[in-house]
Amino acid sequence: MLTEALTDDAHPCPVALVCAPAGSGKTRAVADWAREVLAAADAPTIAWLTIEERHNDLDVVHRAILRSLTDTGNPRLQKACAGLDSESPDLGAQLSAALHELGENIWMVIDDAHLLRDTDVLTDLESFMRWQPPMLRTVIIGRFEPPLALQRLRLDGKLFTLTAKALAFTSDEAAEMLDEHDVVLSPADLDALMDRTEGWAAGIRLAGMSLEGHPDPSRLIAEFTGDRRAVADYLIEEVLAGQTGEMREFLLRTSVPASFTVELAEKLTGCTDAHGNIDWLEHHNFLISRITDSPTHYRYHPLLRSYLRAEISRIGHVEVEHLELTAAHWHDEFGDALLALEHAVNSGDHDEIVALLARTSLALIVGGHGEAVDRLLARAPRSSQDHPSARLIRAAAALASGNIPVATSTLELLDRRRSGLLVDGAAESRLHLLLRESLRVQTAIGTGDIETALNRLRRVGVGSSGDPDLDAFVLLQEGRALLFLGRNDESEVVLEKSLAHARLGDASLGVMYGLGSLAAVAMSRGDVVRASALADEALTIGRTHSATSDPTFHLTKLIDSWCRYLRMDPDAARLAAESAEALRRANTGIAGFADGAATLFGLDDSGHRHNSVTTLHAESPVSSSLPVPPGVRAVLLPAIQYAYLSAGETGWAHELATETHALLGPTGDTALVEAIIHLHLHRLDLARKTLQPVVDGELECAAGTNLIAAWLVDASIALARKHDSRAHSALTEALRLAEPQSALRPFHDCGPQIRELLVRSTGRFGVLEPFAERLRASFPRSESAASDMLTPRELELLVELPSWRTAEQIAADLCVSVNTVKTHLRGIYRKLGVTSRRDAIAAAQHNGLL
Amino acid sequence: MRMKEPAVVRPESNWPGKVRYAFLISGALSDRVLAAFPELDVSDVTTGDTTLYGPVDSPTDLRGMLARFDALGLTVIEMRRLPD
Repeated sequence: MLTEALTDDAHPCPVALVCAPAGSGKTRAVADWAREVLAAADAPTIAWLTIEERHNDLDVVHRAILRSLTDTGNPRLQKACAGLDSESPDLGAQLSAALHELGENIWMVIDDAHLLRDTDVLTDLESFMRWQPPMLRTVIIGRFEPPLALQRLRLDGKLFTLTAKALAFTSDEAAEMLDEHDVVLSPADLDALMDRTEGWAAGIRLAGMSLEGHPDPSRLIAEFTGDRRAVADYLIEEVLAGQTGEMREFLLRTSVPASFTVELAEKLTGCTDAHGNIDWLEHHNFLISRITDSPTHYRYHPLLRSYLRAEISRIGHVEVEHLELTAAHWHDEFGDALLALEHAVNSGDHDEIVALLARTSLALIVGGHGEAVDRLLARAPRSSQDHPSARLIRAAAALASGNIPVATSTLELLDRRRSGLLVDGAAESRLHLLLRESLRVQTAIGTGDIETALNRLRRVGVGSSGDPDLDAFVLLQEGRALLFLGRNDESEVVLEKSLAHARLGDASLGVMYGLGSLAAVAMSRGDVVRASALADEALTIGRTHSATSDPTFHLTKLIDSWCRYLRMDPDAARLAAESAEALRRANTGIAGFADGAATLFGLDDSGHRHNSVTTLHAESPVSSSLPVPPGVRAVLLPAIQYAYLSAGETGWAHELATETHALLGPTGDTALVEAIIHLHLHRLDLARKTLQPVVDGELECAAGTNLIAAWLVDASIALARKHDSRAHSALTEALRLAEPQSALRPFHDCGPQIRELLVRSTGRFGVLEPFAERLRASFPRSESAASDMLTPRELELLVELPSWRTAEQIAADLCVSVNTVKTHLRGIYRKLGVTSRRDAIAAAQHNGLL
Repeated sequence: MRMKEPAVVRPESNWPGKVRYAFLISGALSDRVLAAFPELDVSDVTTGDTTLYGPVDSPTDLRGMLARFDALGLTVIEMRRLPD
């Protein structure tokens, strides 16, 4: 039936919905159907995705969808998916286009879709289904209809629905399932069973389980039919009653965790042959399924588990607590701190919870589980929630998501309650103290007063706790504080140590944070090569460990976009905008900085340049209200200054200079920003005077790229004064500094005169010539009518002119006769209205031909 | 141009503090099932169906309650808010 609906040529339904309550056999039915379809000739490719709670995040679900498509083993599909970027916000459209191009029949099954509740994810899925390519079919399975706007499809007759009725077992199918339990019923009994269960798959399965080996099936059926309880309720009771006491115990105890391995089962039940029991259950189709991880996990059908858990809570609270604690300890031992905490919270044992928190809090924070821990703790007993350890974690979680106000107030609360800790019997543990002061430093970065917080932290003693994860975390905060204080060298040393500890402790997120912060230091120095390499490594780790919603990931992406901006990479603005969007979604205060950076990087491509510059001014990334490391601020200054001036906003430029002086003090960067204004206003002497200490090396720039910009300003001043040789040597110096970084941007910011100089001096840069050529090529060719003036041959010759080789030399190089060259030259001179080569070059530049 | 997000009226804020709901469940319920809902009380079972009633703190809580019924394979025939 499903196949027909999906493949009907006349009225195909692109989407099918399978909606039925728990235990109706939806997954099994669709899986069987899929297997049948795949066995036939000319089968489509079927991708299967089972939704889990964590898929309520756009990036995560995008990655899962792509993975399910590549897991199909279809090489063409895999190739198509390889080219897609799972982080791109319009993945849906890209995927649609890619599948359309592929032109193959692809069917996608989404199981447990009722778990989807995130609005972004739902909206994305909705629009994807609305515009899905014609050969894609989607099958959605769920316990109830997910809140997607499927109404539209329904009204258009494009939605095929299968409900519990369609999934209901027929008598024959029921008999087959009962046969698996070696149960054969008389026709009357079978009818009675069908009547009572209404063909509900779980009911029939449970009936099979309880009838298995039962001496008097008819009587059981009769009692069942006569009873008024819900089917599952009655039958599970029967099933449990029919088990040995030992097995019953086994079932109840192993139902505590969501899934269990053989080892955990043994711990929970004290039974040495857990494996044997599990085998028996599997063999008897006891609603147990296996998840092939390593090691193998088992879990009960949610229906059965719900009843087992209900039964447990009936037996006795203390027992349950004990079991939860066992599970907690087991998970703790095996490194799953979050699950351990969950079980501990379930047990409600305050001491256990607090002890666990003390041991694993750091791992949880650095592992990025802050939010999950927060949610768990909300269920914990009041006393546990108020415990300093718990509060500390909540502060860390708040910080991790960029929520400074909450973090600050939590820390203040901890401060005030400090005397309460001593009442507990022990002095505040060193671990606790370190964590607290580190968090304070992290908060201070957002609010100011970093110096004080840093000193407090240092008094406790940084980097010596012996726990690599903790040391990495504390050192990271110290390093970041130094970065924000502008002490780049010190910061770098500390951050390297943090990175080393993180690598030692194998904490991948810690490594990512360390690398990202080091990239920020490199950016502050204007070291593009290093910043780019570090950022790349950090981003790779982030993607491998699904940390793409972490704000640090996006800040690192921002650094990467800056490196690209500097190298005139057209993707820079787009990447910055994506980071800004992600940071805004994470509701962090740093989104403002990212927005400003995105505007700056996108200036060249913006339609209304003046409007964009106005936006830039309003959302300036270097505004004094944003917490930005001084080096990073310095790095962005020249570009912003030039943007203001080219838009004619001299007032804003002056403002920026004053602000810079206030924030950075009398550094080379401040001098540069002032010199740029002076040059623009043609106050050449003042410009030269302001700039002299910088180019002489007496006044240091925080950012290396600013030194390049300073030399370019120097060259511009010299040009304005017609000191050509000075201009040339200044330009050469700039090239020398820029070449190892491939820093092209500064040459574009400072105006057309530098471009002209570059062209005029073609061939005179010696070993830097290849770089100069790259620069020249990076300038946009202006689309002027003049290019239509000259023939292609003439244009070829024109490019050779600035090298000042003789006509004979050029002819030899181009492998043409001297006469040809001279003829073309005459044509060029005539069309450009000039009589000499020098004038021809000037005119060509003026027209943007060179 | 960045758009400001419209202020969303969340139903949670309009949920009065102490609200009680009654759920009419099909069939009789064993002690085991009742143990899964310690916060709900049972009213007299007369018609063969069972009414469970108790506090529901928020819309999310309500959905959670319905999910718990579903997880146990119970059919909810009717649900209504009780006047207080």
